[in-house]
Amino acid sequence: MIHGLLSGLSGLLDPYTLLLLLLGTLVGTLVGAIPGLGGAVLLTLLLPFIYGMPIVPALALLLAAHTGIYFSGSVTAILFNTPGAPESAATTFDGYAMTRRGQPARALGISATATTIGGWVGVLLLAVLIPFMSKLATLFHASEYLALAVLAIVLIGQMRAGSVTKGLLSGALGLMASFVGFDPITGVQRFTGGQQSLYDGINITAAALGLFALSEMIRIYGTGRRSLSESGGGAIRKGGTPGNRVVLGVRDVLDHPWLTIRSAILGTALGIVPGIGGIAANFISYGQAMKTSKHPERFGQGTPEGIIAPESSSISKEAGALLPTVALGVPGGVGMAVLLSGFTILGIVPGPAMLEDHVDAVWAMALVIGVGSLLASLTGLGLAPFLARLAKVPGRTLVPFVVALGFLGVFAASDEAAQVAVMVAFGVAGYLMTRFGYSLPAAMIGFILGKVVENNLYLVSQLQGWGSLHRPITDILLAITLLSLFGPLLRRGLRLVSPRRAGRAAPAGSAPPVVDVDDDEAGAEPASRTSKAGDKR
Amino acid sequence: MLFHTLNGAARVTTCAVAGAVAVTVLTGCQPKGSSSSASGGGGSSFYSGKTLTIEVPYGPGGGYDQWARVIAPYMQKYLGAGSVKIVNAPGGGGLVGTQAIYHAPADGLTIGDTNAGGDVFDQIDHASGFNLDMRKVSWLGRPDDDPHIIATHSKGPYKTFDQLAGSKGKISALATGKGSSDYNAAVIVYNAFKVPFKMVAAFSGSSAEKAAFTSGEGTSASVSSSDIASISNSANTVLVVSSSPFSKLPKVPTVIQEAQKHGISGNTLQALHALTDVMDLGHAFFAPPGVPSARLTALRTAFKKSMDDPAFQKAAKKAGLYQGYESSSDLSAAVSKALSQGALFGDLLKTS
Repeated sequence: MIHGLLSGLSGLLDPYTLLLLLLGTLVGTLVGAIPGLGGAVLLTLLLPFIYGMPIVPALALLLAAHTGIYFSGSVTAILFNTPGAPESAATTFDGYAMTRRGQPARALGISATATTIGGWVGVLLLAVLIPFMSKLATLFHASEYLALAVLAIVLIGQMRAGSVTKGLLSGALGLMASFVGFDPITGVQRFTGGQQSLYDGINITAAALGLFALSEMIRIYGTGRRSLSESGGGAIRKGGTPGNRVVLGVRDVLDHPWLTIRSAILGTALGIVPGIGGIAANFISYGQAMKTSKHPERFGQGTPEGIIAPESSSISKEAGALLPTVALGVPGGVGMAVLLSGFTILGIVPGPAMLEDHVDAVWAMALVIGVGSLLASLTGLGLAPFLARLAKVPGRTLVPFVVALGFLGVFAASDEAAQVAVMVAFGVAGYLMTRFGYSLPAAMIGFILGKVVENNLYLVSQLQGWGSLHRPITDILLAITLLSLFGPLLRRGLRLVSPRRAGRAAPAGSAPPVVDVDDDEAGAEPASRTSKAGDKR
Repeated sequence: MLFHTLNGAARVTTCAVAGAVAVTVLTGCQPKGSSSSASGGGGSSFYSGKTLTIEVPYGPGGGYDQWARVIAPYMQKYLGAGSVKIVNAPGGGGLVGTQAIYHAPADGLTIGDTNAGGDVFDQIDHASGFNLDMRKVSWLGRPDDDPHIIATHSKGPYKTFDQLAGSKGKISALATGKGSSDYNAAVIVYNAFKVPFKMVAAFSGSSAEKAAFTSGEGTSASVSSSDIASISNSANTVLVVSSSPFSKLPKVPTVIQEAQKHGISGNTLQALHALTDVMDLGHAFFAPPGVPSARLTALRTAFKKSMDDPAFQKAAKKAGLYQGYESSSDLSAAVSKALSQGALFGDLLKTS
């Protein structure tokens, strides 16, 4: 193991490899900011360049770009509610809320720091798990997939909705949208209206950009707000050095070490599960942060915890996704599928043999994820004060650009004009849903996991039946789902039974509402606290 | 038509944005250029400086994508083309992309690879609603000899096809999706041998099926032999669905050998022969119907020269691909033969 690590490291330290790693990060960070070009599209564009390259530099280029994409995808999510990659949608919830509160630089600071720390936790875990990789990737069966997907929908369904019912309904809406297209079980087309462009279902980029970016642009244009963060620009000016704000974000992360590490571990673990992990990891991570937070009510209003959790799992999930990709040749996510293409060009055959034949490449890939996330974040931290000013641009000036970029992105990702129309439909639906208290995150996670739920429900019924209840992981996931649904009811019942406990809790509970909603947990110094209070509308 | 124009325009714009950044940054740091126009490769003057597009009807990372990417530099070399672009167009079990190639302008600048067996099945039963006539396309050839197989779990009770065929209880047969060629292959085989079975098919692709199978689901998987190679520890190949034995799996019987052993004859045996004809079509490369004959000849020649190039053979071997060239004329004949036998499948395609 040490030998593999050392040979991977020495391969990586080669100047040519380092140069490509740097280039990859830069290209990823720059291009990933364009919605729709994140994820697999940029990587596919890079593939022609690796013909004839040695293995380690080529993989460094691809993976570094992949890492950069996820960082900059979060930047646009934070600044414009426009996820660069569908996975970054979870960062819009609190990231964009923080921007609207006038603290875009701080949100970017949190994102950069959490991404890097999360990335390295992922790499460390990967280092421990590499020897067991073929076993781990097969731990999950249909029943676990199903239980995990349902848990995710239930968890997220309780977020940012007027009521639990509306949240779960939103999740159901998302599920239904996912059923459009070819049904692998019966082999027929569903709800496509004969449109061939819908045969492969609704494009995920179209759904994500429609629900989040377009709906928000409709809102901004409708209300005629002057800028995305009215006070944001002012705060940056008033605060003197914008760097202060970024530093505040860095401190936010350091003040929540356990949340950061836990989210990274969760991200890595979910990344290992092929097909579901990568894309749902950030959402699930966000959900667990909210469930375990002392102040769940602050989620969605720009709480640091709500950015730390999805960002911390953002790169670590990719570290996890490397496992099934390398061990079984089963891609952990869309980006990893392109990586498999890269393997072909480089003449690498994934599978258990890869650990023997190309052990240096495996380790180098793990290290690239860590180094790449660090580089991307440093670039991001350096640029954050300037990027944050973008949020100052008058809304009505910005809207056409974001909308045009969104259209372009959907087109690039799907190659279908009809999917742009789908994006518009999702945009209008998203706008209406927000207005009437329905939950966009729940609809998105329902959409993302719809096929997983459907296919695995079928597989469970065909293969496992009730026997799936004998599987411990399934049972644990089911128990968490039930607890999160009926937990509040149970607690209320307990309080009725023993009123003394509730009485004791009351004095402690009465204190927080007096405290400023913002940032007591950040431990900010008094000076910044006053300026923040001034920012508030 | 309007869609096509729009498609092109926007694709160019977006690629320009991304491409400009990538190209500027990457140019000059490549040891051995891939985008430089190869010299001395021959080819027709028509292709000089032009871009050949290879459309792949599946996503990145799978077998069809692998073949396209390994072949790309050699097609460029032997056509003398300016560049080769690979476009992944997944969807509809491969039929969306195959249709896009079929309807692409027949100027010889767009080619693609396809699951010819799947296309033939679809043309026989018209299940998908795509109406493509695979007799009309301009076949370029088949690069691979990667027969379809049926595998069981190495730790499971079925070590041989005999044991599987003798199963008393219902076996669960994994396949990607209803109507796909791997699904139909399993259905026809199990019906022919009267094996009690139920199809379990709800996977997004062969890698999802492989993942489920590796984690211990189902009784059998219906995949291509290269698919199973990376998980050979957990899988046990029991049957080759091909007309002749496969050199890489010399001990595994073919479906025809098993049929003769089990005394299957008449229509059923003929149907199994027809099935091997369909499944042996493999990863086939083609151009749209109506490509001018000079350009088609140039494409076919470049394809053949690529196959014969030792560097190509080395690259394909390194990538774990199973080579076995079949010429365009043999492939055309095989497709026509397979299509003409469609009626033989009849009841054998029924699932309880």
